Amino acid sequence: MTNEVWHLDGELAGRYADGRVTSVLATSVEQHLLRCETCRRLMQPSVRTDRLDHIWDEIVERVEAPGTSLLERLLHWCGVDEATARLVAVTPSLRGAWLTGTTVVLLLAFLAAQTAPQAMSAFLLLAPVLPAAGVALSFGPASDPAHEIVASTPHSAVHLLAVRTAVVVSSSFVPAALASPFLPGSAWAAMAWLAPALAMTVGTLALSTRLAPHVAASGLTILWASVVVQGFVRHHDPFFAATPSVQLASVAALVVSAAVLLVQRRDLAEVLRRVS
Amino acid sequence: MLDMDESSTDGELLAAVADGSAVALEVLYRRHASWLVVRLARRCADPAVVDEVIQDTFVSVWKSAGRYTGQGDVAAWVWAIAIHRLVDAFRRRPPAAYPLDEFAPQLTTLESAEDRVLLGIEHGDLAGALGRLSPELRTVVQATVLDGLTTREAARLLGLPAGTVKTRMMRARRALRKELA
Repeated sequence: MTNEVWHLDGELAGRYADGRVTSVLATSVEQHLLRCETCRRLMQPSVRTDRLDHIWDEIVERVEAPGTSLLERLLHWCGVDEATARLVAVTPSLRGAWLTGTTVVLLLAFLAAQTAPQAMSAFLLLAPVLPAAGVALSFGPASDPAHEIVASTPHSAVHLLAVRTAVVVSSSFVPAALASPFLPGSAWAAMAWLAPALAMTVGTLALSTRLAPHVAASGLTILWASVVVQGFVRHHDPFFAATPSVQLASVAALVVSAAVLLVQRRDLAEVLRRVS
Repeated sequence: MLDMDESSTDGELLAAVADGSAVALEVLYRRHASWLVVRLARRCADPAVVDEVIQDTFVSVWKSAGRYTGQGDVAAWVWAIAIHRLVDAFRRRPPAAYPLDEFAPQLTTLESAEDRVLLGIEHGDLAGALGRLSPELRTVVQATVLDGLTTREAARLLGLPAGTVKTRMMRARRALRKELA
């Protein structure tokens, strides 16, 4: 290409900015703009200053975002890519307050069960509810400060959902599993929370294809609580959740939920995109 | 770190951005945002998406300023980022329509003698040959050749299947070769 022999004048710059030039002429203008700072400056009156200021504010906010957290680095180290690690780390139900709350609640139920076996029903009630609530919370638009990032992530919502769910669920499964060997009752009874917990979590996700995630989780929580309380009140059995009928029902619910989730996963991605 | 201001060149600014200078990023932003907004607006009718893409672009510039090799214009480097962020945005939200060619019908009335002179100097016969392509073929050429996108990216930008972009590009290439021969 020869030296610049022509430049845009104000009139052509204005017409280009307004989209009032043929696409061939626009192509010329665009190729020229890449190489000519003087003509690039002619575009400045075409974009309002307050619009540019607004965009700049958003850029500053993103550029100055806090550095990587411990969890983020840990996930990255485990082979999760950087963008996903960031999105998991900002999951509301993985922030300190929620994690501490989960652990304390489980610990209290655990201690209570140590002193009085009747309190086992409290432990068996809470252990399945916490992961489901955590999962529902991870996708509530109101509770997620990162919902804009989530909505704009290049990853599919399903992919993000899977990683977030795995981390959230393990954050309450791990303490519950650690506590289980020390609980009263048989080893089988102490692990009775596992099947209902899986069913509640997957069930929350499956229902979220039709309902808001927090509504789905609340509904299942009430259902599970009524099963446990009913067992305790009517049968005076703190281990009612460990009975074969409840366990089988949980496994059945888990299978159905998983099937629904598998079929409806695109719907779920759509729902999540809409709420976030 | 050197003080960065209006008199610094783009290359100096980018080097300072690579060193973590937010001031340099702002000077670069003020210098380039306007024409980027205008150019993106020709490819995306939704101003909200354009604003978002501009944000993504400068966040990318912030993160990857160190990867600029010093080869070629900074403006072209920034544009390459911007057009790819636009393709990303369309991947998340497919565009309703591609506005690039809305002026094609008025081609003859708008192409003044002056325009033709400008074009002749810029592109020689290519501009004329491009102008004689059908709008469908021309948008494909613009997206692939001039915006430097791959077939797949162009398909996303234009809201077309990749196969269609490929066949149109083949037809366009044949037509241009005949014209320019």
